[in-house]
Amino acid sequence: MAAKMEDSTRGSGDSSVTSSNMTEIPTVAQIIERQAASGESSAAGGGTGPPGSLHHPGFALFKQGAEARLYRGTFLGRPTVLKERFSKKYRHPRLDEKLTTKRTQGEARTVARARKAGIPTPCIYFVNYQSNCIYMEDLRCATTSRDYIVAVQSVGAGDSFRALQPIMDKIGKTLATMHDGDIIHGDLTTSNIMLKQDASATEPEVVLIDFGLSSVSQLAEDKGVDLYVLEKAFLSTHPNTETLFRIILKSYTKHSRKSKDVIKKLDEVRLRGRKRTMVG
Amino acid sequence: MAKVKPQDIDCVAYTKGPGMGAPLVSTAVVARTVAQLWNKPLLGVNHCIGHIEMGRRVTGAVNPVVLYVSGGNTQVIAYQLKKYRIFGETIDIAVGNCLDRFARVLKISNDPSPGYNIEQMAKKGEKLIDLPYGVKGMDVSFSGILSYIEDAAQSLLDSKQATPEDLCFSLQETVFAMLVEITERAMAHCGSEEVLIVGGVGCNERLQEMMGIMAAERGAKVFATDERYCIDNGAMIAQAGWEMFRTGHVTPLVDSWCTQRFRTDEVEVTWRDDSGEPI
Amino acid sequence: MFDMTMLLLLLLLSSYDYNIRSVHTMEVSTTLDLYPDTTVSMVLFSGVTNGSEVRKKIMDGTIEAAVINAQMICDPFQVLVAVNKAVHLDKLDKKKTKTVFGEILFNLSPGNNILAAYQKFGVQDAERQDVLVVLLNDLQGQQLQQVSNIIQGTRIPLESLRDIRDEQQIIKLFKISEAERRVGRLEDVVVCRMATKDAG
Repeated sequence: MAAKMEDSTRGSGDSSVTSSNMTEIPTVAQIIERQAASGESSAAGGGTGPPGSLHHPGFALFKQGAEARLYRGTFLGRPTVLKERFSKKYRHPRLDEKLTTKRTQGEARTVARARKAGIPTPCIYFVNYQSNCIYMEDLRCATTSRDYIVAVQSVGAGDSFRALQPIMDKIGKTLATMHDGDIIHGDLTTSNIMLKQDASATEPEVVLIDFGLSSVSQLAEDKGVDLYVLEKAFLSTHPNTETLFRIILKSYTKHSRKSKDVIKKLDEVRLRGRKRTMVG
Repeated sequence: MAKVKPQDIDCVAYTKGPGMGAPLVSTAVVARTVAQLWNKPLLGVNHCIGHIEMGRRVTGAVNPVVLYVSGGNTQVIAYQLKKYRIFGETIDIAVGNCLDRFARVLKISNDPSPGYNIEQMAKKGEKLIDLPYGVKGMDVSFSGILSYIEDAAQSLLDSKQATPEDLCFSLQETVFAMLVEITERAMAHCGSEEVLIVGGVGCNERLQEMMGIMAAERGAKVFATDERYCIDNGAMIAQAGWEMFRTGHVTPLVDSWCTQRFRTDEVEVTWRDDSGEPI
Repeated sequence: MFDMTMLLLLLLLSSYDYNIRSVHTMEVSTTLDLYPDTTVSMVLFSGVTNGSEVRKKIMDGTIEAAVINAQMICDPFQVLVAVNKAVHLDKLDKKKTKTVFGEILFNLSPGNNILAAYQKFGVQDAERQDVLVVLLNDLQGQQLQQVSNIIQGTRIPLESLRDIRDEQQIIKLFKISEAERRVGRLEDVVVCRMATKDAG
């Protein structure tokens, strides 16, 4: 509660500073605050679902994804998100088990690797390989970059580009650090790129989540495909944002040590899609 | 014959692309000729959109996520803001191409089609061989699987670790799981409760079954066509052409060329409104 | 002295609770969320002078507790994470060490070497040291009493862990880089490493 109040003070402070030119464009902190208040955050940090799950006493389901359920609760005294990968009945049982285990393990491994490289990701508290559950830090004061972009675009058409620029810059830098650490995320979307801003922080921080499809690779090809996956997800989620996405790539190019080869591969992968003859 | 006289015809639709050069060109020439002969408007149709519109027409799916799988294509498509947008696709070879090339490795007959024979053999397979699994976000990759199984097939067979049927079974289980997975991701992304399978590989009953299980688990409906409409057919070009024609499309004679490269998302979908309903 | 201990224990037992009692208590108890039938108690001893004797008593089974080098602990949360995992693996019969207490020490360490884990996180050879004692299901307080009888040192509040922890040594042992250090609080950095060390 105290955090929320501090947030709102800072939020209004922000808008008073910029009120002359960008009255309605919300800051990351304001979006987080708004979502927390409405309890409908898509991020891990907002509202609560129905209490008490059968399999996970004390945890409440708040998101059902294609292959995992997310619960919120308390674990050893900490606010915690429980991510449970479940079996997909359409797959052969052996393939299903292999994929589920591999992704749980892969997520844990890459989170550790990412943190070592200095990439903020939710802290993992416990991995239950028996039930394919990961218990991790519940990000407080965070929103998805998807929600942030949508919120900013919905208010200011002209100014939204300028408002979003610093965040796009940060995202590009984070991705550069990640790839320089030979981490391939495998499923980059604007929903998997979170923006976190604690009450004490002066500016938002980029936090990456959902490393289930991640891998480790030094190949420029794999990094290029990683960016290609994000580009497609970005442009299909946020139509007509080509210039916005270009800022991410520009920042990536500036901050990554091996960006030249990666961007070259990205161009190649894009062309592969365009050039494919697609015979009936 | 359909006993249709020229005066019964509203317009002439032909495949503008994508496809193989020679058939595209000869069709375009014929279409141009009869259109001028009968003085009918011309309509250049995207082949993939033909599949989608025919699938919607035959199955009654309203606003589905479309899995388009054939020898040359692997795409997950959904309608959004006047375009059939490609949410996921192969980043290398098409799934049908992967199956065909695998059939050649095992010397599986082309009669009636390699894919059909793989499907029949797979029904007798029991053992699941570990193959690479290539899902990247909403995209898939098959070239790694193909080269892996090309390399490993002979030794697996020689050492009796697997039968040809096991290999067919393993390949199908793996690549179809990938396709269903990215389709489900697209459905989650778009909030869609319908899925439509089109294209030659879409005839495969195991793929349809897996898609059905996935759809049932999320309370969605799966729509699939039989081989009459799954594989390429002329009626689908007419169906898409009609949708275009009734909403004002016409291809002037000077633009009545054809192209081997023609993306699904290049066509303005004038016959559906923003929410996907027909206009 | 004996009466004093009993009195203190009775006071503590009377307020047994499912939540962590953390405000200036000498003993902190909690149950594990995933294993509510398991109660964990933590007691911090300062200025312990008989380290080698304590180690002997652990080896011969007299002490049924994990006795941890308090300098290596950032926060009680870190210990609870290690205990939870030890109990989890114990129930599955998948422990890497012989006892659940050995497993707690092993889980605290960054590597997969059991001996190294005991050396770094177990009782030290030092003439004076601070140790954190972890007891499981000591509902009657008998184990704590036994341990208290053996350990020659002063009980201090658990909050003092903060002052005892040797950040430099922890950073060195876990090989925490500057970049990783900036990702979060030291205890979170360490906990995440502990929780993911067997992810391959």
